Amino acid sequence: MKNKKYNSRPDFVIINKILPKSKRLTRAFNQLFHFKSLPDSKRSQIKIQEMAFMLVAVVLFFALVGLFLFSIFYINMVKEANSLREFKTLSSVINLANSPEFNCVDLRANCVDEDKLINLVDRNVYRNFWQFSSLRLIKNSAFNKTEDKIIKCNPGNYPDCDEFIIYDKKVKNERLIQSHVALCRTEYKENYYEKCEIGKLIAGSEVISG
Amino acid sequence: MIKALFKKKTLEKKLFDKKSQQEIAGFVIIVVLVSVVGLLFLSLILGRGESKLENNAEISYLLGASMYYTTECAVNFIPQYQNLEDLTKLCYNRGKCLNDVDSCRILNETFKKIIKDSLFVSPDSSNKAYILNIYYKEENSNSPDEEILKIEELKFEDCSSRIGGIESRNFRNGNIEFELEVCKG
Repeated sequence: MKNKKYNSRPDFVIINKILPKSKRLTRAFNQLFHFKSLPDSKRSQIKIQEMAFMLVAVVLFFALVGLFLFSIFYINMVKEANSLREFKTLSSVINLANSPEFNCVDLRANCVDEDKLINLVDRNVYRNFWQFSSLRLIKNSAFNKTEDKIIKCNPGNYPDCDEFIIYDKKVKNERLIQSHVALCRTEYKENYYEKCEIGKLIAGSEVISG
Repeated sequence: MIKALFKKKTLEKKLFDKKSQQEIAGFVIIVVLVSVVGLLFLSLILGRGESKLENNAEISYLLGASMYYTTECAVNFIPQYQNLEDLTKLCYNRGKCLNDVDSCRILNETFKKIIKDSLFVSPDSSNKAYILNIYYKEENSNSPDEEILKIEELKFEDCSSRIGGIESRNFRNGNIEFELEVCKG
C-alpha cells in the first residue's frame, strides 16, 4: 500500500477502483477506519473530549439532584420559619400577660390577675401605653356566646361578666392576635381562695393598607 | 484477500458500535444506581422528620394556662380546690376528692370541658378531633412511660394537618407530660 503516514490504512481509492459499484466502500465505512487509523494525538484528544462531555453530564445530573434536595429542605425551612413567626407573634401577647399591669401576684407565667384587670377597664391613660390598637380579654363563659349576648365588665357587674375591654381605638383595618391565658381572681366560699379559669387575651394591631 | 479484509473490517465496525453502546449502558447504570441510593437516603431523612409532633403556639399556651385552672375537686377541706396540675398528681396517686369522688374522673371531665370550649372541637369546625395524652416520664430511666390519662374525642382521621403542643411539669424523679394533638379538617 502507498499510504504509509496512517496506521494500516487500506487504500480505498485503489480498492474502490477495482470493486464493482454495488460493493464499493461507503463514506461511513471510510470514516470508521479513518478514526481507527488516526494518529495517537488525535485519538487521545477525542477521548479527552468524550470524558469532558461525560463529566459535564454527571455534574448536571448531580446539580439537578442537589436542586431537588434543596427544594425539599427549603420547604421544611419555610414551615419552621412560619412556626417561629407564629410563636413570636403570640409571644408579644404573652409578654403582655406577664407585664406588671396584668400578671398574677406570685409571678406565674401566662397568668392574668382579674382583680387588676377590672381596674384597667375604660382607663384612657393606657390608650397609648401599648403599641396595640385594641386590647381586651374574654372569659371562657363568653366562648360559646354570640357577640350581642356577651356582657362587658365594669366595676358594677364584676365578676359576673364576660369581657374586659381595656381600650379600643376603633381603627379601620385591624389584625387580631389572641392567646389563651389563665385568668385568676380571689373568691370567697367559707374562706378566701384563688379561682382560676381560662381566658383569651386579644390584641389588635393596625394594618396599614397601601 | 479483499474478502478477508472486508470480514475483518465488518467485525471491527460491529465491535466499535458495541463499544459505544456499552459505554452508554454503563453510564445509564451509574445514573440509575445513584438515583436509587439518593431516593433511599431521602426517604430516610423525610421519614425521620415526620414522627415528631409539631409544636403549635396556640396549643402550647392553652396547655400552660390550663395548669392553673381551678377544678371542682377539693382535698382536705372546702375551699382547698385543686388546680389541674395538682389534680393530675392526685390522679397519678389514685387519690380521691372530698365526698369520695374519683380524682381521675374529675380530671377527665375538666380537660374535656376546657378543650371543647377553648378550641371549638366539632365535626363541623376546623378542629375536627383531638387526642390528649398525660403520662409520667422518669428521668434517666429506661422504664416505660406511665400513662395517667388518655382522651380521644371524635374521629382522628382524614386530617388536612395536625397541630399539637406539649407541657411539662416536674414531679418526683421525672416529669408529667401533657401532650395535646388536634386534627385539622
